Amino acid sequence: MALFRISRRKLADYYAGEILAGHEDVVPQLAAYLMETNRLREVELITRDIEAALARRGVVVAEVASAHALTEATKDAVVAYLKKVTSAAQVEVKELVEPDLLGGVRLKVPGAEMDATLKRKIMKLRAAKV
Amino acid sequence: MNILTQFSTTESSGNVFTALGIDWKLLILQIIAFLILVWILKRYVYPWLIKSVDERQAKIEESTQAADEAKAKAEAAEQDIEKLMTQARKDAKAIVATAKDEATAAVEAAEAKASTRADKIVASAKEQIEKDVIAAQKTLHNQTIDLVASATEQLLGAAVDSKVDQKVVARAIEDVR
Repeated sequence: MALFRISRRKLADYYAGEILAGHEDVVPQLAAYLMETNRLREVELITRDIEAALARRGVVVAEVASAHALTEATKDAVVAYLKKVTSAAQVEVKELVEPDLLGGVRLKVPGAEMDATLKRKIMKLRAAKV
Repeated sequence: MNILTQFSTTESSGNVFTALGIDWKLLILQIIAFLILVWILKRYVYPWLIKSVDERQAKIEESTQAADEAKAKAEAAEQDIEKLMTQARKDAKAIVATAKDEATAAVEAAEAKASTRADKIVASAKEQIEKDVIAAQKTLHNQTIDLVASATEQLLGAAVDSKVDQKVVARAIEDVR
C-alpha cells in the first residue's frame, strides 16, 4: 500500500506532540514510515525539525558534548544555563563524550550553538595565523 | 807716304770736298733722301708708333689701375676675411661654449637620472627587504602559533582530567552568563 508523502514540518509537529504526550513508540513508527517512503536520507533534517517543534512548545533538546562525562552538578548548571538562554520550560540533554574536544563543553540547541571547548580555543589560536 | 802725297795734291788743286773724297752731289741726294725718309717716318711710322706706345702705356696704366684695384680688393677681401675669421672665431667660441654648456647639462642630467635610478633601486631593495622581513615575521608568527597550539594540545590532552574538565565547563558557563 502506497503511503502519502507528508511534509517534514507536519511530521515534525505531529511527532513532537506525540513525544510530549509520552508516546515513546512513535520513534519506531517514524523510522518505519521513513523507510517505507524511502526518505531515510532526511532523518537528520526531520530530527532537527522535531527538535525545533519541541522548542516552540517549550521543550529544548540540547546536545551537550564534552571530553569527559559530566557530573550531575555540571549537568544541572548546563541545564540551568540553557533554560535561561532559551526560555524553555524543559531541557532534554543529549550527552556526547568526544575526547578530542580536550576540555570544556559544546552546546547545541535548535538554531544556536555555543562552543566553549579547549579544542575550539586552539582552533581559534591556529586561525590567528597570517 | 801715298797719303801725304795725296793731301798735298788736293791742297794744290784747292777743292776740299774732293780732297776729302766727298761727292757733294751725292751728299745732296743723300740729304734729300734722308729728309724724305724723315717725312715718311713722321707721316706714317711715328704716328702709328706713338699710338702704339700710347696704347701700350694706356694698357700699362690700365693694368696698373687694375692691379691697384685688385690690390684694394685683395686688401678689402683680406679685411673681410679677417672679419669673417674674427666672426668665425667668435662663433666657434660661442659654439664651444654652447657645446660645453650642453655637455655639462647632459652630464648633470645623466647624473640626476643615475641618482634617481639609484634611489629607485635602493628604495626597491628596501621595499623587498621589508617584504622579506614581513614574510619572515609571518612565517615565524605562524610557526610559533603552530608550535604553541600543538604543545598546548598535547599538554591539555595529558593535563585535563575529568575533575579539571568539570571546572573548565563550569567556568565556561559562568563566563557566558
